[in-house]
Amino acid sequence: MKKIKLTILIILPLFINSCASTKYLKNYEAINIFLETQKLDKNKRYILQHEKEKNMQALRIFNGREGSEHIIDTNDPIDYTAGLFVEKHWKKMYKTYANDTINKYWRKEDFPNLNFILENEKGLLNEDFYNRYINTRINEIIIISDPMYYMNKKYIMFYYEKTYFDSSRSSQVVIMKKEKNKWIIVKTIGDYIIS
Amino acid sequence: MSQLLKYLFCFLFAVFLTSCNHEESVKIVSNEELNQIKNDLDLSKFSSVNITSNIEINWKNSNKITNEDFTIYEIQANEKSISSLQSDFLQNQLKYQIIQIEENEKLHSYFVEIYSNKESELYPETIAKLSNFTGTLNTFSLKGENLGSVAVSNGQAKNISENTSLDVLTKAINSFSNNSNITKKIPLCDKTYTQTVYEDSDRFQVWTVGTTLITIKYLGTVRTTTTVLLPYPCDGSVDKEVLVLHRINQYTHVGGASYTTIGIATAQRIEDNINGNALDPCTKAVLDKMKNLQQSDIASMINRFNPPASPFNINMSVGQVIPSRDWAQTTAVNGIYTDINMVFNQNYINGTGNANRPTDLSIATTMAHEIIHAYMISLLEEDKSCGTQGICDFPTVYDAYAQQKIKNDKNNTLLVDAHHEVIANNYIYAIAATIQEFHTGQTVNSGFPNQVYLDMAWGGLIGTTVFNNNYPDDPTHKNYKDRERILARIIAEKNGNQYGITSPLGTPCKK
Repeated sequence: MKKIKLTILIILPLFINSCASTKYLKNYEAINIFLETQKLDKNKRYILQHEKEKNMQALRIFNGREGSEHIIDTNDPIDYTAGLFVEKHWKKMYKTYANDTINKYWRKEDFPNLNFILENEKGLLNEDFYNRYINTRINEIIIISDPMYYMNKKYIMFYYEKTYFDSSRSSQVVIMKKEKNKWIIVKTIGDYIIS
Repeated sequence: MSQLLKYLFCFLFAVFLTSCNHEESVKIVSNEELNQIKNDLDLSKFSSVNITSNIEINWKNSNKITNEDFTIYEIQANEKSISSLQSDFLQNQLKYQIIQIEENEKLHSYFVEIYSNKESELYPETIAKLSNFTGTLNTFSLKGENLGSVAVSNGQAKNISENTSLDVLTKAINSFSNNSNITKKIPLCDKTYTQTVYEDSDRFQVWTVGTTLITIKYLGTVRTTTTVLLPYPCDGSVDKEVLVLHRINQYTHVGGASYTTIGIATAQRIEDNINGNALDPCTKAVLDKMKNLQQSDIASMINRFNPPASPFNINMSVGQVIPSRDWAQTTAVNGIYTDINMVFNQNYINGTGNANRPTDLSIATTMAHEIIHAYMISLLEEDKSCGTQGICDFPTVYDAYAQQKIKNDKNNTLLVDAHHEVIANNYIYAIAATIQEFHTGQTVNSGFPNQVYLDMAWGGLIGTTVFNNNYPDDPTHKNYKDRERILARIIAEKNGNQYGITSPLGTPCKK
């Protein structure tokens, strides 16, 4: 009986893990292709937030607000998603990813073409952080979330942010798809929160 | 025989005369032709205040040039009050002209604003003689739509904005050019220049009781001097869309503080409508002081948007924000265009993780920056509420920001970046003057705030094209030390503590 319990204890996390892993991509080829377009200087060092950014960031930008309710501005004729927002698929994506708040971490190997320095979210832009990077020419932070599947895995989307040491940032949700075995950027949507 | 010789002589003489006329002929533009241009021109629709209020057309000074392919009508225009540029590569004088070109019986009309490079001769007031001219023609339709720029290098023109509307103008200029070196790079790239514009405003006080006018009293004339750092259009590394944005928006706050009664009243109402009751005492004290400066208070800063928008409410508070790196956030309240929420990050305000809280100077700068965001958001929301009725009379900043980024760019990407580019291009001096008066108690009468406040005003704008063109992240660049100084100042004030060799100037609130 003890043996059975032990087996269950070992198998259960593996099972949960296997379920979780199907929610996300197995590799980060798509993000690396997107990063190529961002013209990051390969001779320069950038800080990468060690924690993968919360899915909620990408979800709220895609939805135009926090939460799952999608409100269309009747005064604004422009669909900022260019037709990519489909209620049925949105609800499914939101349900799958919104509550996934467990911290996951990037590894340097995930981005082999860039020389990132990993830093934990909590210390970013505090006094100790600034003092550690004084006179290093390092003054930009990259923040990326794990790509989520959308519309029956036709698309993926993730959050990308570049923040400078003066706290100014450029953030967006990036939507990509695989076409003829190559990842292409379908759309980027800028953040509606102004800082 | 002699008769035959006479005929031959006459024939040859006629051929000779014709050959002389082959290249071009210059005539006076007829009244009928002028009237057509007069009908088409509407200076009031231009987004540049300098053009709408400071340009007069010299209808008597016009000419008509014809060559093989084109008939060109040129009418001179001049500034009533001469503005001046301060630049290390441009001459200090702008020129204006209306150019209408007839090609294949089709008319193409342009209103051009001409920038002459320093090493060039000044624009010779005709596109037919540009062999010694190098500079840029910033081009508009006669109804004020910015069409982009045509750059000229010693008479050779290039349509750098790649707007097909400018193809005929480019071809017409090149038809007079003997210079075949079309691959030559023109003009200088990644440069900026400073423009100083003087505007005189008459001030009147109007007394009314009910609908009855009692008296109008003339109070005097106020000369407003405005200096603005502008990017130079070129075909360099700068994003074309951003260049267009800059070009349209270049004179947005040329009017500076408008002293018309209506302007002050609206801006004052916007200031009065800032509700700081949900702020902590320290931030509230900064807000109260910002509201009551002598010259560069919030109302004056808002008034630099010429004219101000409709009044709106700003609800300020301190709280948690996401993304947590932001020092403050400004958003429209959904569906209510007159209400803007401004949240200061509690970690920033409380100095979480640091020895000290940020200085009052840091908070004042962040507040000034966010108030400009609030203003731009209110314009956009107001535009949405106007719909397609076209009943809203928007200030010039609307052209630059809302029209360009929202209506033309349906992808609506990077809204935050668009805001910051507009602020970086137009409001550095406004923010600097406000925080200098906030900090020193002294008004900035020279038009030039001290360097330290200009440095602070770049806070939140380090990622902009303008900043990175002026202060590239390149240790070999002459301005690299300035870049380091600016960043160090912003960080020292944010930390409320020494940062390297930089000590904070402001005073942190107690922890």
